[in-house]
Amino acid sequence: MSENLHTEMYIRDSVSENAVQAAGDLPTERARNGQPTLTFKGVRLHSSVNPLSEANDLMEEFRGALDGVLDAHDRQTVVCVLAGPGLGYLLNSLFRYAAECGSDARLQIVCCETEPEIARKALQLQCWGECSLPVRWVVGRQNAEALKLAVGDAPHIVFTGTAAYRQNREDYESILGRITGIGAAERPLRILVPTPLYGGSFPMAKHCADAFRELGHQVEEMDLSPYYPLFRYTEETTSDVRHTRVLQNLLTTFLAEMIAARALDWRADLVWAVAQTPLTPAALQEMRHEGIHSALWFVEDYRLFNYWRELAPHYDAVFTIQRGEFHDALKAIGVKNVRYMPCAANPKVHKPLALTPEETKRFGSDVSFVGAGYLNRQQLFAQLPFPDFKIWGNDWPESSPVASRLQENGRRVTTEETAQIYGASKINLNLHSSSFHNGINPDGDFVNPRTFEIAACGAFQLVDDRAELCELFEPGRELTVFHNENEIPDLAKYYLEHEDERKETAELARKRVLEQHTYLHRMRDAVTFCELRFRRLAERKRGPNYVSSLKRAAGDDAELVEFLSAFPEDEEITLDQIVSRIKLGNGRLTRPEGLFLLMKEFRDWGREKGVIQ
Amino acid sequence: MMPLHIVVVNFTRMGDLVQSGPLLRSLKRDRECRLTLIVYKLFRDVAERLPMVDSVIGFDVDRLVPRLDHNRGDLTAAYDQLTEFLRDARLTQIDELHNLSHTPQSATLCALMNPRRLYGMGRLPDGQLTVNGEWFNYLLSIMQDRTFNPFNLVEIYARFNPHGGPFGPLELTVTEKDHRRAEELLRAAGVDSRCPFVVLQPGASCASRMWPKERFAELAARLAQRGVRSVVVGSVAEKHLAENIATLSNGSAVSLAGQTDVGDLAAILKTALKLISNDTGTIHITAAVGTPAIGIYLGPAAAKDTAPFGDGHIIIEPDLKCAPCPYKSECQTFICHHTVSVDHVFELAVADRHEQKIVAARCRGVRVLRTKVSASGRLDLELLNAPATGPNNLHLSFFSRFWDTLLNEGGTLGDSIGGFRHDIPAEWNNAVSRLSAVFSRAVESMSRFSNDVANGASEARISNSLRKQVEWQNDLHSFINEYPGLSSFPRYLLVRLSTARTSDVAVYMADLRDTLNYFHHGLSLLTCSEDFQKAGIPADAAIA
Repeated sequence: MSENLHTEMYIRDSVSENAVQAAGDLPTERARNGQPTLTFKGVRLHSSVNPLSEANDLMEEFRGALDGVLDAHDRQTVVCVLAGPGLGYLLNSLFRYAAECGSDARLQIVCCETEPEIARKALQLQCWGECSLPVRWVVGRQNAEALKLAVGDAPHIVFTGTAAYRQNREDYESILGRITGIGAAERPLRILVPTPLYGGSFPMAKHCADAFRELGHQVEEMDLSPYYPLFRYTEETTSDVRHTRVLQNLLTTFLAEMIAARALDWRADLVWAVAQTPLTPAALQEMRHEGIHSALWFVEDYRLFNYWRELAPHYDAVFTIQRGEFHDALKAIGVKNVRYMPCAANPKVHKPLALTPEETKRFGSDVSFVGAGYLNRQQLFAQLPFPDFKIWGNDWPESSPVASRLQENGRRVTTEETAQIYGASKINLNLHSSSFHNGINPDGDFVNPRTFEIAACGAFQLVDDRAELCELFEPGRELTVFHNENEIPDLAKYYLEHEDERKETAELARKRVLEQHTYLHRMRDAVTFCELRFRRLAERKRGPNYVSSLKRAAGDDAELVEFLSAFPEDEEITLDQIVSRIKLGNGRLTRPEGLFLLMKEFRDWGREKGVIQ
Repeated sequence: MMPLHIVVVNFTRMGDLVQSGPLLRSLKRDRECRLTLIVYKLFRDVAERLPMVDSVIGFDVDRLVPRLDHNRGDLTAAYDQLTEFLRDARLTQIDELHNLSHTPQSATLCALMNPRRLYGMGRLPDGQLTVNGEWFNYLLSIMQDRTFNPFNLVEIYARFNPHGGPFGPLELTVTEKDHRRAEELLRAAGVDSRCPFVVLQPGASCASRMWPKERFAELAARLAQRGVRSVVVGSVAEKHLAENIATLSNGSAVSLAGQTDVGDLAAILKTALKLISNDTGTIHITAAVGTPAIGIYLGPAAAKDTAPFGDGHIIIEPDLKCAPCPYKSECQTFICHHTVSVDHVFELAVADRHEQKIVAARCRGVRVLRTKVSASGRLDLELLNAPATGPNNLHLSFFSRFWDTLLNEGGTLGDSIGGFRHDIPAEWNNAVSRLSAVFSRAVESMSRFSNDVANGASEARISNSLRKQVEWQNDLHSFINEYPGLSSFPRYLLVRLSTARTSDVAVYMADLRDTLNYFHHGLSLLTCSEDFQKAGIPADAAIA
């Protein structure tokens, strides 16, 4: 045994032991703050700036869920399974959490790492310092048995969301499936996606629906855009803002009830809302009462749009494109399940396109911008000295200083045309919008969808620096970033003259998006997050008609558990199969038998009435 | 001493719940007890207005059943829901549980509540279905064919009380709040509650029971000429129908369909002059609040079964051979709808009680009946006119006494049912002879079976004896088809036999023997020749 690895402290099974001992050594890298970090197969596993801070942020996302599990299992040991711990920075965060809330005596940690080399490095460096909680490492892709033994029958919670987890998601889902039901085959979730009425988030909702479908879930979209003209009509009906507000609230209430009615009728497992999807607290509560979970992807700037204050607490989970203070604020108003989830691209739509010469001439330029005419863009673009600079999109005032650059009368551009423009343009300017700043917003944090979309189209962009950008792309390599408007002309000149570098950067950005930043990645993350937090959702995915789900529901009903023991654990069973085992007139009818018999009788009655199948 | 805890399960609709009131009242008579009523959640409001009920539990069947769907179901949630339901503190330590429903699911649910005594359909500890109470068996037997049932549903329910005793009228609580709200609804609809108005109920559970809406509209218009407004009620689903009638009546009628809950409806009915309705639950609410009703009973609706329980209600039935029709009739002509004219209903609606007979006598093409509760608690139907067709009241009267004698405790072999003086056709004598022959065969089979068991016969021989039991039961089935006029009795026997316990040969034999005793008793009542001959059972069973 290598004395540097301390495996005797952390490893209890021979498979993990052998894997770690046989693993190769990975080179240690350093983040900007000097803390160790690691790159594995081209993927950086921790923040290049501050890995410990990143871990603390991740901890904050899980805190609410962990609080809930600890409360629900008072006085019992709870196991935290860290899936893809990497170098183990999350351990520090957990130690601190346990000390703060006094749950030291009840928490145990199991680090589940599928890559032996990563585990070896982690054990070598021990970035977590001294352990204040019992920690065990289970290593290897096939080591499900050891994981199951390590978790045992204790209530548990699984932490995901690390880069290492995302990198090997399928392996983790497979191994975790033995204890959580995730990844077990397979009854798809029924996900209802009601869209916003208009705006940039409308296509985002559609991309989400596509991604859910690709993941194998049953999806129903409710396209509410036909109601947008009615929404606008309320503004035309009266000049009294109060009346307009009343009318619009009535419309929102009506649409929310429609969504709830559809969710109930279609028996959705999850309702996925994006930005201003018209849902109300009443409708969300009604759905929750019927066991339907809801999630909101808040893809707006929380400082500018504050409707989240009223609505977010009524969602079961809230995903955000900003974190830090926003997450603090959400938790302060009672949102327990919060997760940072940046924007993305849909490679089926945002992709390199072959253009005809006419299209290249029409859509192409040295420099272009596609988007709405926010104040900062009008101001900054007016200063740019590009002779061949095309601006596309609507909502540009006629009086704007850049009106002359506006193409095709400032009409709304379709998604496909946008992809054509990106591809045809040598440089795509990507300036994040602001109604309050001249030029660049120095406090800008989130990264807009355009960044991912341009990249997915294989096109080159110059993008303004944002706080979250370096976590999503590698500036200078995958993206070219400007920090103030003065940098733009020189950068543009350089890249106009260096086509190869332009193409190489664009290609790297596209690769990064396809590997990590598609809607598929996001929605998979979202579903996993929800499944880990909502037992019923996980059981639905696995199937509430799975023996194991029924056993879990049985709780301490020993009679039911014993009754179900006659059936194979990981199989789906039907009511008829269960009832076929009940022999009337042959010994005492047990309570579980009576209940299943009752269910079958009501089922038969319902079929007779034509209410169910 | 703790009061008795009585639980009643009744998974039925609004009208039947109201009709169960007298039974519930009688269950509590002369006993210190607490009565809990379990109903479908949808009808909780009605149940809570039964004044004799101390507590109501709503069973959310609308939530449960979708969870049992093959494709979209959630067995875990369904199991959780049922477990949660059974955890209700009011479902513990039940002294008596009366299951008024006649379904396997109600039987299983009742069994899971583990009462000390269970009446009605339930399950034995080994899970087999069982029925405790002969009147429950009777109810099960008439579910297949009510044609020869002589009892009103209220009377049948009342007979479920194992302790017997008299039973009273229908009851329903109407509060001050209900009256205030009713007042508001009427005012908003432009109806002055101080002026006379009637309530119209044009909806029904199926099209065959519905008097045409145009006729309701015309009736409303004619009543308006007499200064009587019409208020049309109904569920949300009937709103369109009600508004249609209001429009067709040129404003003589106003619609409150979909706007009333049970309390509002009851208060409106209490204030109204009368209700004019198809055979619906509303007619029983009307009887419960003491307002006279005129029932238009079409399709399979039969006054003898479901007339409102009380004095002075009028029922109009078509004077047709085919009326009432069997439940699963596939009639598409609905000829019975046209026999009841607006004149009939209008004249009867505006007639005072002492005029009703005179008015009824003029009504051609219909049967006009008036209800009266006798001193013994029976609901009699007084025929006010002379139609060409109609139930054979003697027949029904005979069988009401037949069943009371056979099924009530205290009836003994040799009891006679007298008082009839009609000739009996030869074929009915043949029927009774045939039934007697089946009985003889049954007794012979039973005797052989007993001997085989007592002598330790081989399994093959005992199997053979068991098959013989099935043979005479098949004979009963054949008899039912050939002699429908006498079918109720063999149906009852077959229902008893269907719940014979089969877990053990000795137990099965005991159940068989018990049924044969009833067979014997019933036959003796039928073949006390003088009495039976005088019953006047008609030759043509279709007329009834």
